[in-house]
Amino acid sequence: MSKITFLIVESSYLLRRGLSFAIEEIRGAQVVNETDDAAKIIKLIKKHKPNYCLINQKFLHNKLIISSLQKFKKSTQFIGICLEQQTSLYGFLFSEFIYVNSDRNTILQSIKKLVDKIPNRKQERSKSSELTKREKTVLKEIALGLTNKEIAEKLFISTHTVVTHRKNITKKLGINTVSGLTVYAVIHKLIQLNYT
Amino acid sequence: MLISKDVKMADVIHENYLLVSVINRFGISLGFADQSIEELCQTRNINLDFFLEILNTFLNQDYFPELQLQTFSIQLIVSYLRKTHSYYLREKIPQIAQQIEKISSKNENQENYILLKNFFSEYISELTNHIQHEEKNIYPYALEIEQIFHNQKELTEKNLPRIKEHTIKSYALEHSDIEIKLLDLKNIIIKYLPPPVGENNSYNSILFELFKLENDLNDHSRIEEKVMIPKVYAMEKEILKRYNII
Repeated sequence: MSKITFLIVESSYLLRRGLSFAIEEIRGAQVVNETDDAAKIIKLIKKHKPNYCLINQKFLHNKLIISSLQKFKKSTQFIGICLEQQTSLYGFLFSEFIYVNSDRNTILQSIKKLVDKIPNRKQERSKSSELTKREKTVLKEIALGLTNKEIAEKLFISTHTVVTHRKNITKKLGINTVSGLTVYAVIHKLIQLNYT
Repeated sequence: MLISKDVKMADVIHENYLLVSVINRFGISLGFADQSIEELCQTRNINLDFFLEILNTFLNQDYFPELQLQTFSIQLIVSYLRKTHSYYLREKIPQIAQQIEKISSKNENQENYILLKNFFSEYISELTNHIQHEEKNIYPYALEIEQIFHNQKELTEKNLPRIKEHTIKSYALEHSDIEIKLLDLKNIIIKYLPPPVGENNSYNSILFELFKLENDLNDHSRIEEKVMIPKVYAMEKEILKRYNII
């Protein structure tokens, strides 16, 4: 599963480290880089293409920076780092704000909201755990105790393809052993349990 | 948190109750009043330093001073490993088997019961084989190497070829299969085996016990892989050097 990426632009070392620490407390979130150097912002955004760039308003002192940041708005969302809740001059650039004076829960929740906002992750997850029709057929043969070679001959495919199917099945189900796969096949009625 | 010899045993158990089964292996049972670790070790003739390291490595996932641990004798290490084996075979495994047996009482459970039972008995036989192999072959070999190393035993025609082959290294890879099987079992229960109505408890307890077993097994194989095997390997090398065989 791909992670939601963050870039932090902030002059205070402690704030940078603190934000970085808070972000990585959220599952699925990752800080790809942090900097205190205004000259490097564009380069880092180009390099990492982060989902979010957290940036202190102090860095927006000249129009040149603002206009060049705006060019990236499609792929990177900009989040303002502010001390506390107040109206910002830069509402047109920022999609959200993080108020560093708030308590732990508020900070974590606002980061979590950012992570949840990126939609592609959920689809990816549900798609990946569903077995295809072909994989179900292969799984059934594995559960019946056939070897890779036997399965290949029976289904008119190459052993290499069988191996690939097996790998994908294991990855999707989280089950590695033949006896584990057999249990799965019985539960999902791909084969019948022999009660003797 | 690292504990020291002056800490009360009772406080350690409050810190992590799973340690009860670990101290059992050293002959300590519950009901030790306010005795400190050092006092307990003195009255029961337990090697204090070794006991402390075992407690600390069990308590802290990321505390594992390999070199410090390798200073303990193979004899001491093996005797602890043997006790963990007997704990698995005589207590933990029968306990889980019994819990699986319990879910057979309801009719709607029959299929789940048979699946779990068969899978678990396969697991038991693999684990038992593995343990027997270690008890019969690996541990005696490790102990023999230590004796030769300390000149308490002669190097003979019989054991020389085994040392030359660095026999101990070949044991290093054998753990993974059993770990994978246990992981499968946990995943099957977590993901694919919904219990019938009113049966949550019995399924939960099986799962909890599997997690505890896994935790203990990981600790056990870590001691084998990062302490016993490297130590024996170093002694094998040293012996060969001593006899000018390289």
